[in-house]
Amino acid sequence: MTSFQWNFDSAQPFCGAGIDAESPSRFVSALCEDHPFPFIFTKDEISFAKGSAEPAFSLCAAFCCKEALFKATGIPYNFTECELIELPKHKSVSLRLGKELREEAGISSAIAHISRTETEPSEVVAVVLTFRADGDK
Amino acid sequence: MAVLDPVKQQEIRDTVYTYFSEECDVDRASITDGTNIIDDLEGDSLMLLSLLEIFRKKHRLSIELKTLGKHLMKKPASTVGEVIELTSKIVAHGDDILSVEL
Repeated sequence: MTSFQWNFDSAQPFCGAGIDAESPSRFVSALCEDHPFPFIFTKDEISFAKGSAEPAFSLCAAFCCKEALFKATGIPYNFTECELIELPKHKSVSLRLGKELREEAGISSAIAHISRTETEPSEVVAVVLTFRADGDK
Repeated sequence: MAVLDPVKQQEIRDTVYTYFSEECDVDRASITDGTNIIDDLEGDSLMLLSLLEIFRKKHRLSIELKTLGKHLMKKPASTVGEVIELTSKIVAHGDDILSVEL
């Protein structure tokens, strides 16, 4: 497993963490469809994944972020309310969260760190941190 | 309350058994209603979501993932039999599944 050091600076209070891992190979066949898993992925996510250098990796990363967010909040939600539409290298990424999800989970934002294992075949690992709005109790 | 006819119930049962047999690469005859999806078949949440996608397409279901998640928190589906029961409820009730007595 790849190890990483994650430094972040947030003025908002940290409130939860979740982690998930999955194999990109499980998303390869889904990429043959126009819009696979419409209740999991948004059109923007599909478009981003299909246009990326590693479509299956991108789709898998988005799925892992959604699962990790669920683990961080403990609140069932529609996965289309959490979007991953960029994958910067060696940087954490902000997840785009829907209003309903933010209100029901009591969070204002979430960031993810995405990495891959050094195993063969490799797996995607997503660690998600959630934050409350500044001033919330 | 909507009730599925026996033919549809059998169809759901066959689909679930075939799905887990193929996905988990195990002999269909070795699967029973009591087979645990995680412990015995090494299944996971993505498998359950993929199965749901099959039924969503086949029956044009509109159930939301949030609804399914809330239902599963009240009544988890750990075995093949429980997944068949859950799937039958989803096909019969869709998003009204939360109002069904558990």
